[in-house]
Amino acid sequence: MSKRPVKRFIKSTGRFAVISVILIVGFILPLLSVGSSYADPIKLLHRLLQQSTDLTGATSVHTFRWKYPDTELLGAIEFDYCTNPYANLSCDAPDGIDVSGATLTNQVGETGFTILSQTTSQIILTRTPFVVNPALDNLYEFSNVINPTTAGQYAVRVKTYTSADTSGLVNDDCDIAFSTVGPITVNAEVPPFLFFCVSEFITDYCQSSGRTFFDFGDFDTTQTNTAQTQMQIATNAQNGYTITMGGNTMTSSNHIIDALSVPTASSVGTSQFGVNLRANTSPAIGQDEQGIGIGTISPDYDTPDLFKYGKDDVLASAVTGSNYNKYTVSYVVNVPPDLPAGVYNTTVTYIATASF
Amino acid sequence: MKRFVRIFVSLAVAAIFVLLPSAPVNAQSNALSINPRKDYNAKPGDTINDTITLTNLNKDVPLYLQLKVVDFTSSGETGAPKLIQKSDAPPTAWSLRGMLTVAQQLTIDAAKSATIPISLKVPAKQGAGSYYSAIEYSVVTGGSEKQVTVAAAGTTLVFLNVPGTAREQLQFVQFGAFVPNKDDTSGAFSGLFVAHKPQILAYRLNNQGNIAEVPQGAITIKDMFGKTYKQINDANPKKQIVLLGQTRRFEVCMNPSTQNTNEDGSEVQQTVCKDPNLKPGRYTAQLSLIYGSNGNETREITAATSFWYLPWWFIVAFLLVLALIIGIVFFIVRKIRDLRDVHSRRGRR
Repeated sequence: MSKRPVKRFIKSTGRFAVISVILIVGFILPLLSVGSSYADPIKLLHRLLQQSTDLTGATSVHTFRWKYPDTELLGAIEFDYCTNPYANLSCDAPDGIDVSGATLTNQVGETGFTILSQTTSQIILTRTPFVVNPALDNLYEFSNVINPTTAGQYAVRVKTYTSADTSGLVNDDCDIAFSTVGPITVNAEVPPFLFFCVSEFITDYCQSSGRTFFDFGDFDTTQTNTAQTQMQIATNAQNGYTITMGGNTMTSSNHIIDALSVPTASSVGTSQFGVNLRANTSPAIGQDEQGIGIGTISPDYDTPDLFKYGKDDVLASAVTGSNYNKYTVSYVVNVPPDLPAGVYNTTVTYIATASF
Repeated sequence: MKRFVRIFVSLAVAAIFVLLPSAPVNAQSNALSINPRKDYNAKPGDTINDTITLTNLNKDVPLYLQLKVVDFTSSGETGAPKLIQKSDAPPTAWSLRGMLTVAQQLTIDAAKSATIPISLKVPAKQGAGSYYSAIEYSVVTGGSEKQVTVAAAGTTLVFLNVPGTAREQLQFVQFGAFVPNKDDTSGAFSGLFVAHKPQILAYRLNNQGNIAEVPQGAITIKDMFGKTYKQINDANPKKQIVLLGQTRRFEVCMNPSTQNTNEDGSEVQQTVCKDPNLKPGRYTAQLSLIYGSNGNETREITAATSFWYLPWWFIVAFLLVLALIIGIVFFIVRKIRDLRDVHSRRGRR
């Protein structure tokens, strides 16, 4: 091979590489640089809302406090009661809020405001435009505000304007958090509930069940001793539920059958006590989860033929409200030939809690 | 005749002993319905008297319950409570054990409900903040001598908010696209999704104050051309709480779907996360949160993140198109050079 074709090849592939790099950079760089900046509006400082009462539907006094962040021209202040904060979203009025009859009963700091207009969820204050003093603590108090009728969290969006009628520029645009709580006795349409039952077997949504205890009989050292129970659960709690397992492994006096601390296969002739929530083949016991609920089994108890027993372990959970799920707990016990004689027993408590 | 009677009595007694174990042996219910949570607001010195309704779901046998107030903390970054069961455990800093009074035992007849009083007495000098414990209802198992006894227990979480000037401080920890594990106890944040579309955005907040906070806010997701792909109006749709000292992970589904299911006459709203219909590309998300209780300063948290959704088919297609463009350019360059060579050769001749 002569040197000339090699040189030509390098020359052409060099050009090829340069063109490729330019194209790739040209494609990818614009993608990387787009859409990562957001404009953040100016916010009032140390802003808060004090309610004389936060009971739902109650007539309350709403006192707003804040400091202006800088010297700025101010002619109007707008208060919007919304179900959610965030200036970019439309403001949906909370159910039952009514500020249409509210009166401005006190003002401190930058004063001289009067109510320009008001609706059920909005108040606009006005005065002759002036330059604010950022050193002042400001207070605006409204009486005769009717709180939202549903317990929850809300926001008041506060905007300040340079003009006296909100037609000018917006200086500050921010949210102030507030919440309401229901009275103690609430006749809710659908009261929160958590249904839970545990037994040897369960039918008719916990209405009927079998025994709450069982015996393995005399432990057999040549085969795995097995048993199973069931539990059924449902809740309308919006954060779902968690089932944990309490209680110790099987003991007799100070002799114990070892709890399986990690998911482990059943091994005849060794000291083992463990459970899982799946249909197993070795040994043949258990059932998979049943029901239309969205509950899931914790990974450590979700592999067929692997068993574990951890006190306070979470066995199953749901992350939102969940209709009925039925879980079958399989128990395996293996004992070594030299296990000291005695009556080995335990009480396993399954605790159902709502999540928060 | 006497002999016949003796034999008959002996047989009858034997029959009773033989038949006893096969009779309905579970003389107590292990099935209950409870109110899972109670929230209260009370000023120092106030006493709240309320009731809780418990139901025995079993239609055949009574339910025997033992009640006690136990403290709880969070289980990792989730909202699963971790009950502190040790009888000698000291009360937590947020405990209601000294304020909350409930009955200690309760019997509920089969298929019946019972309403029990609870009393919450807030000491006059109690500081502002959040306090919480759980009422645990344990089924009394009756001290069986059997090898394994199983018992059901349920809890009502009780939250008390004492108003006033409190220390409110949520520290932002992390925000990004998130892939939870199957049971949602953990997972991983990721910036690149190839095999699956991202479905969930998550943010982590650490509570350094003395109020259990429920942040509220919104998330805006934009595509790589700056166009809003999705506006999530509620960044905490389940009103989840960050307990004192907890780092809590809040998961927000980009395309949630709620289904009302009805079984056994109980309507339950289940929420599942559906395909967010993302097109391949880079997305940015901005999180804006506020929090603050009545009379306390409103605080704000903002954060931004980005992630790529680049499925395999898109990568392959992109590389093919790129190779085609490069090939065409190379071909054109080659042609131009060949033409130039022809011209220069003609010129030399």
